[in-house]
Amino acid sequence: MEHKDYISDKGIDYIPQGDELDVALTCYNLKFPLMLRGPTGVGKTTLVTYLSRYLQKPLIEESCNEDTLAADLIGRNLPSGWLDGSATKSLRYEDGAIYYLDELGEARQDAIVVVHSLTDDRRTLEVRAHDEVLESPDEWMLIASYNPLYQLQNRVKPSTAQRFVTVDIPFPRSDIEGEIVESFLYGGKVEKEVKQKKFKKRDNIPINDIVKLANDYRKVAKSSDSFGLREGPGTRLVARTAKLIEYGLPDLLAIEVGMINPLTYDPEQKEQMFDIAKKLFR
Amino acid sequence: MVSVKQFLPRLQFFAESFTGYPVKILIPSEKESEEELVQVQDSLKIYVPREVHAKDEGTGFNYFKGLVALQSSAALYNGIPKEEVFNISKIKRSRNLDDFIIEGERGGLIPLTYQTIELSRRMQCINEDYRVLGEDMRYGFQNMFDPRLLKKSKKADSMNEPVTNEIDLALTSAYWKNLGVNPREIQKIVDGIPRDKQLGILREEVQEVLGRLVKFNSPLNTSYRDSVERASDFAQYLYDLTEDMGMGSILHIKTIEEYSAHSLESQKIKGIEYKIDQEDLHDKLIKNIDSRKKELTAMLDENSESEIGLNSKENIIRRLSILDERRKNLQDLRGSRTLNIEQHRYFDAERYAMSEGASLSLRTVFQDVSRTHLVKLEVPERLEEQEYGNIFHLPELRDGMLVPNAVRVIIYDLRKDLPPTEQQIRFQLGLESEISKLEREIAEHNNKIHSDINYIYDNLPQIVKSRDQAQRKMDKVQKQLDKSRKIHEEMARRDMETDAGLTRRIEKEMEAIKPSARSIVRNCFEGELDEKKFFEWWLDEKMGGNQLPNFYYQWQKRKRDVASVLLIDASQSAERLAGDDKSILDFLKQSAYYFSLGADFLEDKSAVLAYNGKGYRNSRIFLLKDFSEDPRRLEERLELLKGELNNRDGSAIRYATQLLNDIPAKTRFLFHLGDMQPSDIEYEHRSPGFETYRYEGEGAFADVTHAFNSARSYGIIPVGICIKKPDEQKPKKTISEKPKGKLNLKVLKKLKQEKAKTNNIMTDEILKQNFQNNYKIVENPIELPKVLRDVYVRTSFQ
Repeated sequence: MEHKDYISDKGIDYIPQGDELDVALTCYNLKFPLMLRGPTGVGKTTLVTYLSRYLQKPLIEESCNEDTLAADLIGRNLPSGWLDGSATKSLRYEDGAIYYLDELGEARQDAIVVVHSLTDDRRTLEVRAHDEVLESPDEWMLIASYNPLYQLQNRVKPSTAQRFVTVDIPFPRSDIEGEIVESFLYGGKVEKEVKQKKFKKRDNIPINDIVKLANDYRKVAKSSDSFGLREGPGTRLVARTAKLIEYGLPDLLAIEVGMINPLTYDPEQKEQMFDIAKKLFR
Repeated sequence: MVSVKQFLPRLQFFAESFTGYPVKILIPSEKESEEELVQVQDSLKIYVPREVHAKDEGTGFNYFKGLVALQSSAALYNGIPKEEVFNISKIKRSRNLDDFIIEGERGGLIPLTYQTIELSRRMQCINEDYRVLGEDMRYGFQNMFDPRLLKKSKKADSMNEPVTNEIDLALTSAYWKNLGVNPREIQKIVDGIPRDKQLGILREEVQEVLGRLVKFNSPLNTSYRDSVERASDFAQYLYDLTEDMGMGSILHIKTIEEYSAHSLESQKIKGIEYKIDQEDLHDKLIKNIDSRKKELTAMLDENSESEIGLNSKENIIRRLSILDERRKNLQDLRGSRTLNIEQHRYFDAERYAMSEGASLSLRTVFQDVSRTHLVKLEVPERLEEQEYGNIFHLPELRDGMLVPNAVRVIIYDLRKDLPPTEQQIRFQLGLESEISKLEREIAEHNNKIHSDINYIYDNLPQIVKSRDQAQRKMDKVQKQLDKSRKIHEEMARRDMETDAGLTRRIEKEMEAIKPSARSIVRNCFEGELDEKKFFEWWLDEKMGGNQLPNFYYQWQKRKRDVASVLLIDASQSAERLAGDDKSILDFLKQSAYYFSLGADFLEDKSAVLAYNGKGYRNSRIFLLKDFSEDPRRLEERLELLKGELNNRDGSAIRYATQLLNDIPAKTRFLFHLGDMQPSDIEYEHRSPGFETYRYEGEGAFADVTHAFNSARSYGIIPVGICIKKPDEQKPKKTISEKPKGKLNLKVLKKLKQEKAKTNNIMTDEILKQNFQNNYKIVENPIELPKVLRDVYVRTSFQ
């Protein structure tokens, strides 16, 4: 199996549709794993390749499918010696890399569990075959993507979903879509320059409010029998959301990507959860 | 106009974040459909008006959010009153909590005060707890403010002189300040209203007292009880105030009816006014004032200060000066015949007894939402103490339409919570309704006894007697009810026979099938060395080729990734005798047991459910074995299972689908075991106006088919085992004994034939429709365990 691992200078520039680029860069800086969710062809992969170029980090991509094995991610022993898997390989770049798990929902659970340790604060990967623990460099980033619409059967388990800061990428607005199509047709670069927003670190983080909000979500999860919100946010989500707010992301955006999105992808439910967040945040 | 309809799901979710209970948002002006009423049974009811005048959608939504938050936060901020009696010591009368709450609907002063204080308390709690929401709510409520409401307190008396109800004015302004209207704006309007000739001098004081009462220092540590206490403090304050001013008490007038009764009383007094000796009255009043002065001076010496400052030093000094003034006035009036003091006494009191402005203000904001409901949120009993099972709602196909949440399903774990039998339910329901009837009766008697105007009723001892009688009767019924519940807990179990020999045989059978489920997989990157393949690779490598090193082979278990749910029909019909001394249910139990054993030996995931029920809000599902549990658990629970009531197949199938859907497996089966005759009638709602929904015939079959189709759309394979009823061919009487008119035998024969035909086609076609080819008809229930096992093995190895 071959892995792409170069910094491509080809491909079109990514035009952000919302705050997804800001969130992605925030995650990169805060060392949080990122999940991109959206229908096919809205630019999830484009965003990742663009990030790789923007950050000047190699991109290692693993397209998951039913037959993806844990060994594909970690590596295997061959007669010629040890062959790194995609995850191991990405971790060996000392200056960091972007590790992209495409269509995470397609992969089998046992393969996904391998990267669980990479998604929490440890950010390590244990390679049992030769007793090695790989630690990820500070500039290493994990991005996953999946399409919730056609993966109703094989959806990403809550235990996995709750490990990622999650961004929904919708179909682009028609003006943006026009630009994209134009640049694709005529091969020209998009003129609009994408700028990274500067965030100001916040001092007074409303920890109490965030915890209160999490408890409200847990209450709703407990009471709603037909809504499908299975469980409330775990403490990891709460802590990460606080960290995102501290970094300077707007409160509601941080709550959306840190708490609401990992719990649900139903647009109606997201709106309802926003209503609850608006009890405390503006 | 912004309608609430579009926000309903959002509001429900929003309310649940306060309560943690399921919530149902209702619109009082709209009659709920039957289905909706059913759902509401076990949820917290919150009311909102149908629409609101608002300048845009955002404001409208804020307003609705505010209403929902004020109601649903009751649970969070200790705002759900319990039955208690509160004493207002000064007016020497105990008041039921309901007096504080319910009478408010009819404009009583103290209940309105309580409502204003309690709403204000919750508002402050929300403000402290959810800052942003508090701002949004105030923003939504401000819109409703209308200066004319404050001016409602202004009236003209018979002499056409302006008269202002200062108490009402204070209450109304406190209310609107609490809802976020700018205090300065309110003050401006208040200043423009002429002062009352009697209480006008006290306007600032009444406003200040009420202002202090509605303000809580640390609202999150308070409860509804504080609001009651404060309302009763205000009652005391009003009592003192009116006494000092020489007016009649205004507190005992609680309702419009009493108000008019009092007017009558005062008319009577008017009629006899000339008989009163004016001189005597003067002496009496002055004496009264002197004694009150003495009382107050004593209080001043004690220097007792109450928290809210009603009996504070300055207050007492003020009251003393008022008394002095009145004494002087009376002395000046001595001998004059122009003024009838007694008449004034009543007249003035009435003017303050009703609080129209505050009442209207509440109505403006809450519209047709009952005010009682605002302050007395009723938490459904079942939510507080969940006795039996887990409840949730499932859809059902009715008249070709899929009605969401139409059936209420209760899931029981038979070892933990046995559902009561139908007889028990009927009996207990009867007792419960009797108790509530008696409770109402007692409350009615109590009201009469505690009423201020109880002199209207001459037969007080009689009332007391009948109340005590009712009380005794209620205790007796309560005892009966407790006993019935206890009996239910000691329900008998029925043993189940299991055959150890058969168990071993099944184990062997399954073991025999298992090895064939292993296969060799070549071209692997790891595993055992495949020498031939390695040699090829080695040669290729030597030749300078670059082949992949996939020269291993693996013995892999042929992935048997099967999950199945067995669904047993445990309705009354299953109790039919099938063998010498065994019912169909016994065979069903046996087959369930051996089925799960077999699945266990094959290392498949399996769960067993049984279902019955009566009515669409009492559809029962018994979780006999969950996926993770051992078959031995199943045995314990099977012993407790009884065949009773009816069967509503659709909801059971939908539940099984949900259960299966959450299990990760490649192949999923839903085995359905029963007579495939869904039928259910309604018995719970016998009240008029309720249309009961029968679940029979084509409608029921269509629902079952829909349920199976939706299961199939999730990738689940339904498998049916149908137990054919032996008595299906029983001849039926189609004509009465004495036929009237001419009988055409040919036509009759044709009709009979058609009927028989449709019956047969019905079952066969429906089975085919539901299960495609995966069904089997069993005529003799004794074969059941074996048939089920065979079917399982056959289908799962396909």
